[in-house]
Amino acid sequence: MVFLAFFVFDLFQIKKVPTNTLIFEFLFFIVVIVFFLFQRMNDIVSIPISSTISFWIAVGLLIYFSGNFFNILLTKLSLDPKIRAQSGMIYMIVTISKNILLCLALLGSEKNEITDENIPFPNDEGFQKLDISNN
Amino acid sequence: MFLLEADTTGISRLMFLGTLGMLTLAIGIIVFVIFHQRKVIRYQLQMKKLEEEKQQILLNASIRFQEEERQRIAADLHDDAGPLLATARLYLNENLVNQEKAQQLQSIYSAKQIIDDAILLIRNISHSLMPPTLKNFGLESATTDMFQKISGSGTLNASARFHDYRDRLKVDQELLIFRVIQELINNIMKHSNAGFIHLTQNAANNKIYLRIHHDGKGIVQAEFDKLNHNANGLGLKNIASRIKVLKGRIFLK
Repeated sequence: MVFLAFFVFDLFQIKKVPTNTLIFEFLFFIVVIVFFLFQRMNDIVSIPISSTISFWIAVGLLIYFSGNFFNILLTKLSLDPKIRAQSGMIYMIVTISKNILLCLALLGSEKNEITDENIPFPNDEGFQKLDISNN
Repeated sequence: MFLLEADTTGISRLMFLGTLGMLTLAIGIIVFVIFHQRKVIRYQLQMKKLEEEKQQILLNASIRFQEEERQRIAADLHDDAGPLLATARLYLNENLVNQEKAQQLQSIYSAKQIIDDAILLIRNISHSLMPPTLKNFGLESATTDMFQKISGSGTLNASARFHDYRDRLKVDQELLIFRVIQELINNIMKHSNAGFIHLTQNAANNKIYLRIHHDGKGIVQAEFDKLNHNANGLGLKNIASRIKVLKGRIFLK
């Protein structure tokens, strides 16, 4: 629904590049990624979050979106070649960082994640199997 | 917009500082997530360790309880049933030596009485292991029976009322509940100096509620938890482990 709204908004501003919707998209992604990270932080309780693939993908994307946010926000304000060059450099640094993080994430092997729903707490099956009846 | 009027240097600086700020914020969030999650893992490990220790204490308590129960049965058999049967054998041996008919009849009669006593004793031991009333008639009858016996002894006034116990539980569940009630009553009689004990049973939402109240000196939940985690207090640990098996809870106030 959000993306559909962005699309419709973009249709009206198609001639302007970059559009305001891009800024909202970036903000939206930053919020979603932060929310995702906090959710993962609460869900995973048995292994370090940094040993999961999804964490590093989220980190890569967060760096990308937050690093390019001001870039997108301010580039349209000036057509000066110096600003464009600086913008391009920031974009490249952030994108390379993101790509390195994504590569590292995909190269690493993920350990078995144990969420708070299947924590292997010492079970009391021994007690339940006790045959107490004298039958 | 004032930004449109800003000069190139201003925009350049704002872009640099803004990007730096956003990246710092992002890295800050990432570091916070990593460290907080590690803290949670440490806490979970501590909880796991505590749970394991608790399980170990309960297991030890149940083993100790089993051993004590075996020792009690062995003592009952050795001290009571053993001498009775030995005496009966002496009377019967006398029959082989003494040929006089009247004395033979007397010794047979005495041996019979002693064997009757031994049978009664063994029956009592057996009943203490698994009360026949509980097995045959259920928790309500067994509990009421127990309370009547306590009341009958004249030491204190005990009464039990079951309001909602239409369907019987499984025998092993009933036995566990009965043992918990027995242990609690035993503790009340031993330590509280109570004048009356009253048990009420209710059921709601597929759960059974048993409430025991008395007018003696009691303990509160904190004391119960403390005693339960101590190395002593075998009875309380048995109560806790039985309630755990039943997936129940105990509240003291």
